[in-house]
Amino acid sequence: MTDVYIRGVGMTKFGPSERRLEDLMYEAAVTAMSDAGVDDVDGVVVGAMSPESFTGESNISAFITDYLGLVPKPTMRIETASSTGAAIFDGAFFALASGFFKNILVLAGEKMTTLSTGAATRILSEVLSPQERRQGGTMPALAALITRDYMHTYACPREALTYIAVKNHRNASKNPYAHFQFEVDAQRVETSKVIADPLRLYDCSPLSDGAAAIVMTTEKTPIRVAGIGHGTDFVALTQRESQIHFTSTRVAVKKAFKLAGIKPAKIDVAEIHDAFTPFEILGCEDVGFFEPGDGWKHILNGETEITGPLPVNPSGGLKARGHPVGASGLAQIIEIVWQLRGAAGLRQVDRKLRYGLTQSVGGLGTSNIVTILEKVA
Amino acid sequence: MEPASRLEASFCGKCRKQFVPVRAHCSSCRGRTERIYIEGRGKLRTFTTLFVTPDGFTPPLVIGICELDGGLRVLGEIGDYRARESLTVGEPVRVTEKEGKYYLLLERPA
Repeated sequence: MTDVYIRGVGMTKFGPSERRLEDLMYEAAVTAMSDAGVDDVDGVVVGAMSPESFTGESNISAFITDYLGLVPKPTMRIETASSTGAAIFDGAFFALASGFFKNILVLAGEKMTTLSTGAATRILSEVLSPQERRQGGTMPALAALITRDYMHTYACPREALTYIAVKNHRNASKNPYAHFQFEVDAQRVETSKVIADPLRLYDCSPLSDGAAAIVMTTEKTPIRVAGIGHGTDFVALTQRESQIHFTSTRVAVKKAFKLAGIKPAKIDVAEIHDAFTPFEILGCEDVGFFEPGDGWKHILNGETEITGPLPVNPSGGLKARGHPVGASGLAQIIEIVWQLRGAAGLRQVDRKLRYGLTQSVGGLGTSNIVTILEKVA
Repeated sequence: MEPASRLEASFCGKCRKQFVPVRAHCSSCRGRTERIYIEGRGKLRTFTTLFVTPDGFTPPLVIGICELDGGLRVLGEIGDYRARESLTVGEPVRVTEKEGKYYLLLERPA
């Protein structure tokens, strides 16, 4: 198997935009290619969760490849709901590792704010099981069921969810790419509108527009893809072995650490899929940073702050960097690249970093992907 | 006496696994399942009240997950929305099915 490296990265600012999806994706792609110092690639892997529904576009991979002036290079789209951005990285990794490709552009984007919140919420809910949707189940509703179960099982206080919202907003206030570049205090979080109790508005990631791109390569660069893993779970929450942890993450992380040949304790910085604040706790436990049920205690202890021993979501996370659903998985990886390069500006983790990890959740845990990057030079 | 609460389920004879709602093939061995009926009593494992609901539903909508005595979990609507302030994890509930939807009925003393 050939080693795979990251050659260049680029993304747009996340948040509501007047620009079209192809223009957001174009900006991310040319920024990544410029950062990589290439004007051509061997193939393009495109990620978008639902452009058919959000903006009425299909055949998006051919359209974007044409728009980028990369015809006749091969292109395809990969989709795994909200982990789509990580899935294209996963797919391209194995294409490169096979030795058949040298440089691949992975490019993800989503444009969600053209529709009403109700319409967008309906589209996002279409990834859930038909039976659970028929009962009125939405993404926040099922996340709320998971949250109450977790909080009850492990005596996790409301304060822990609030802490994560406040922390991630503070981190995003230092991130020029973030949707929400402002801080919030605990009172604002805890008096925000109840969406599905115990989840309030500030526990939920926003609907965002945005795009992200990476040029992946088999030529050695300072950032190596050390490990990657992908796991799935039953679509219906009630069919799963656990509903307070994602088995799919646990499967994925085991593969990723095996490939990397390291243990969770070696990770210096992480981006965890906090589409809802409690998912940052579950995610930290599932990837092995903390024991099940202990995650909230470590987080309340300040350990995941940028200045703490294990910074989690220095970008602001999905919660505050924003969540253009197909692009988030790739944006997480880009943040780790910036952190490892020492290029994360005001939110830079200020010590020597070697390993960074991302965890992306697709469809409320149906297709989860873990990636480990290593700074090698 | 109250009639038993019977729920339609699927059963895989090979894996000894039960499924609610019904599914044609076992999630473990892909073999064909058979139709069975199980007792729909259990405990409220978790619940939420939706104040923002999808089209076709009126807030507040209360849904929950019942863990049946046999271990299966069923997601259903808690019809008595007035009880939402007093719901507790672990309280006994009974699951019924009506027109493809599940309802969790609270088993509280009258």
